[in-house]
Amino acid sequence: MKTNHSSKRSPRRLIALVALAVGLLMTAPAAANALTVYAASSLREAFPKMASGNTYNFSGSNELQLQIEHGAPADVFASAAPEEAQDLFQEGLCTRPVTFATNTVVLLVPNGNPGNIKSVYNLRNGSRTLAVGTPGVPIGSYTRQLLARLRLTSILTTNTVTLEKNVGGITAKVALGAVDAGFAYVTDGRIVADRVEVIRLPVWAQPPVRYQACVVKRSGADTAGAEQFMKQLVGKPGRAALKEGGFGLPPSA
Amino acid sequence: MRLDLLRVRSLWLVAPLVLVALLTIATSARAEQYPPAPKGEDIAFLQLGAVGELVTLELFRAASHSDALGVNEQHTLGRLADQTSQAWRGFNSLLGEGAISREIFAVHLPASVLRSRGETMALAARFERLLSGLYLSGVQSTIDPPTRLLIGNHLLMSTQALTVLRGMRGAKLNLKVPKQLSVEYVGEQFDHYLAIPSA
Repeated sequence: MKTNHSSKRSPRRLIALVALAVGLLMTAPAAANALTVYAASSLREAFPKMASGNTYNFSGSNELQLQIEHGAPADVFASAAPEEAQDLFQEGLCTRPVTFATNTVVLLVPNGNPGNIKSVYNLRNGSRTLAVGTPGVPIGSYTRQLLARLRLTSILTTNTVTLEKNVGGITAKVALGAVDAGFAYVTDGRIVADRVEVIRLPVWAQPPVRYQACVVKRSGADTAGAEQFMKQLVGKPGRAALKEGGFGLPPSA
Repeated sequence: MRLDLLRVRSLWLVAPLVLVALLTIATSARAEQYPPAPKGEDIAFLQLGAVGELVTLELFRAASHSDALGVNEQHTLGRLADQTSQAWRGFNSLLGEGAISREIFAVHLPASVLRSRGETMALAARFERLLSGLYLSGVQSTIDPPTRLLIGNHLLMSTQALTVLRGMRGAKLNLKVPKQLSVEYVGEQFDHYLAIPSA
């Protein structure tokens, strides 16, 4: 009898177990749903170190801004200059941006320095190949600001210039030795430290490189997850990962 | 008597520079009707001018409280600090978002310099010479006439400050116009005293 009774119960138990499993399966993906973070190319090492479970899309900040404006499924946006994040905020597409890191522009040369460049002023002599960001991307804009301050804008015409859509492209070209030098961030130099040499640029001419991040506003966005990411970014884990990557940090709030 | 002599010396020292400044102002007679709108690389003189004025300001401020200097000297340097602060803020108002602030650049002056009257005065005079040389180059190279006029005014102010500092140091009569200095050279000199705080 007992056995019968138990055998009568077992389908119920089975159903309950299946229901529980299905329930767990249904809830588990929601909890583990990777947050989609659109971030400036220069953050490609620091962000996954800080939060590895997310889906990242690294590219030029201006390109990412455009994608978000066209409804791309981003939850968080982190740009290498305030303009892009501020534009999205003004358009009502993200929350008020927060500054979370700073950076410095440097000149990268391939290992061994085949172009024999000792200082940025050597580029006045011309006949070298340079990788430079396009004017719309933050690194391109910062580079042009810096060159105007140094009265070296002419080097963009006296040398052969290859225009890159993001800083990753510049770093790759220098690391591969495809160009004599490239203007990038000091943090990019650290990523490929074994393949490039860093030439510091005058401090006085440095543009203020400010990274800003915001939570993207769109239907279906994981706002809670994005807010958690933002907390992490400006909190201890974020600051530690950014510092390790060579970024400067704004005063903590 | 000593003061009069100092004044006469100062007038002689500043005369050629006043002439340069007046020429600048005369050639930019119509410029004053328009606000400065720096074009292309004009920005280099405003940016480096702002950085140089900030570094000089920090030195004047520190010197105006230095025990190595007499009360009158402290007072004079305090006045120079006020004048320099005005110049720095003037440049910043033109630089807008690129304004040079203490948040962007930290100024580090060697503590040993501030303990010695001679070294403090020598460094102050050196900074003003760098600024005068920079502005002289700026007057020659700037494209936008109102910006040129503005730089001409700064040239006048920095040479006045230089004359005061030379007088305080008891320097010999010098009728030479300051040497023009390149952005590259002046930038390199001021860079020794700068750091990016957050980096």
